[in-house]
Amino acid sequence: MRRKNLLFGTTVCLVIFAVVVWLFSQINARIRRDAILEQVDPQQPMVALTFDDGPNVRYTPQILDILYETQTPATFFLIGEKLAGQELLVKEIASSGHEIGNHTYSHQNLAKLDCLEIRQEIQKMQETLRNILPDYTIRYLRPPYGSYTQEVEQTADIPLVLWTVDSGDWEEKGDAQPIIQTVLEQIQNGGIVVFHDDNPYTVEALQVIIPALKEKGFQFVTISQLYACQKKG
Amino acid sequence: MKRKFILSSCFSLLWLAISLFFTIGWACGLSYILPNFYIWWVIIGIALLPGFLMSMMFFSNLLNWKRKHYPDTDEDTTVVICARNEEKTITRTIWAILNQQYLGHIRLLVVDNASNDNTREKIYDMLNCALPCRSIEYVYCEQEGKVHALNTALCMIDTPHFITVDADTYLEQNAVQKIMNHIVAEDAACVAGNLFAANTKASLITKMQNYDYLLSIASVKRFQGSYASTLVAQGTFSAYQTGAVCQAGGWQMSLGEDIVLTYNLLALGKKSGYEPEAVGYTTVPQNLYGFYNQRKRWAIGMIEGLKSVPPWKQGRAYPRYFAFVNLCIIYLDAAFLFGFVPGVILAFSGYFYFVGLLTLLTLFIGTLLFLSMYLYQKQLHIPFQNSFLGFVCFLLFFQTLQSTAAMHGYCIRALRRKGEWK
Repeated sequence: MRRKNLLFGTTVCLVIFAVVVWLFSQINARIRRDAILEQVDPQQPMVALTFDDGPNVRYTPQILDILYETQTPATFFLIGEKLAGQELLVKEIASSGHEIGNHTYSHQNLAKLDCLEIRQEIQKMQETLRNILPDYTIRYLRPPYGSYTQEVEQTADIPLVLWTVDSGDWEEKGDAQPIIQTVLEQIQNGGIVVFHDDNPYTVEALQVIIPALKEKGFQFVTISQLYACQKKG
Repeated sequence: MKRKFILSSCFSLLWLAISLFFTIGWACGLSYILPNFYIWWVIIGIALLPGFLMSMMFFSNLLNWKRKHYPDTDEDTTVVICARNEEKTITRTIWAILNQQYLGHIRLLVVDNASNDNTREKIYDMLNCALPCRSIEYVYCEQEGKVHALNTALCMIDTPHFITVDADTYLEQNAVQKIMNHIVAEDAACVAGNLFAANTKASLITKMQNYDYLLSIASVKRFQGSYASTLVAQGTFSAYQTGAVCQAGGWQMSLGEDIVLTYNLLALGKKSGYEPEAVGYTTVPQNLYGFYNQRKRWAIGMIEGLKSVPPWKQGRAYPRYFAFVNLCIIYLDAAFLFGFVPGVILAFSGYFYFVGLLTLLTLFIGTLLFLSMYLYQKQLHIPFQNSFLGFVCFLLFFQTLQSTAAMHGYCIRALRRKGEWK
């Protein structure tokens, strides 16, 4: 009987071990994906897709899946206070080869804040990200609502990035079609498109926009890649 | 009774609602990594359901904090002790019965279940110690098995109520009086006594079991007993109504014969109580092997009870509810082993996904429950021994050991294998 007990105990341990291995493999399957490595050709038209207000536990993973499947690099401007509890998601964004930008800590209108508050909003977000990705350096800031003043520019020690095409996905139209139409109509070489990874329509629209732009000959780049090419050009 | 049950249910439903509020975010956070089925299986099993049950138990025990006092009875009673190779403990057990401060006559039936050590001689030695109001009879039962010994004794009982005490259990001086007061006044079919570990200093395993008896088992029994629906009147120390036990067909051939009997009594629509002031000290297994086998037997016994009388066949609503809860225990054990334990291992690797805020919330209500139970037991002035190491190990490892043993028991029963006979 002692042997049977031991055997059963060992079996339970093995099952627990198997569950742990499975859990780790599921986690690693996402956060240890091969990075998207797109060769940038400066002669070809290029476009940078950017996503604001994330991470969103529901929609960001779906967007990441689409970007991974289509091997499309993008830039995510994350909000600091939304990072808590989403460590895996943030790690996945970085390990997939996407760029992470600063969208402040609590999404406040920087134009209405004083110098100290602006600095706090920017630095606090960076510190929060550093807790998850200690070696990651944020290069760009996108001010919430695209609203900024000269004081914001001077206080932020990183360049500000806005957009050339507003997808309009923040307007609740209940349909992906207007987003698709807006982006495809307004896109130009060197364009920066702003999306928000907090709604299902963006996910739906991306499934059409990415193949359509690829067909038109656009290549997808991150903000850093875009600015590097523009500098060289 | 009904009002308190409804109030406790409302409190636990409120707790469940709060937990669910947190759960949605938790589940969403996991849903992009793991299959939804596994996520909800784990979350319900390690947080929602335990939180619901513990909060209900906590609140119900608070509402029933005040102890009931029953008038002293002087009804003659019978105490049945079944012994098989218990030469080391039988003398102490019999002494404790002889020294009872009980107003009525106690007839002590000591059933020797084919012992092959000196149990018989020890009992014979004690026959001389009988008093006018404390008589002792030696009964020999040749057929091995506790069930046979108990049924042999049942045929000899001529009092309206009787008490069973294990041969390795000794009672506090007023235990018989308290348990008899309860069963007579409440007209219950059975009443379970409040058990503590006797050999708490023997090993770490016994120290851990001390807290299991003191906090967990007593909490559950108090909760169920508040609604006259204690699901297990343990044979170790319980009082029974003789007529009701006969009506239920006595003890059935099973590993958990006391569990099956209680289920059968409840199915007859009878009441089953719990008396916290009737205290007994039982010798608990000293090593892991003994402990594992005991808990395995208890798990098999629970399944046998549920099989004998399925929850939906229970006569009254309260036992029906508690039997359904018992049915959930199988799932809770599985979720603990294959959800919580891997979650803890993951947490040590920095992934606080299964062991997060909601788990802490469940641990919080568990702590409240244990604390309230500790204070309750303390006010009974029962001399129990504390051990810091035992308590820490109880919190950290006890459930894992118990769930593994229980899972083994369920598997034995599911595969229809014979369990180890008592």
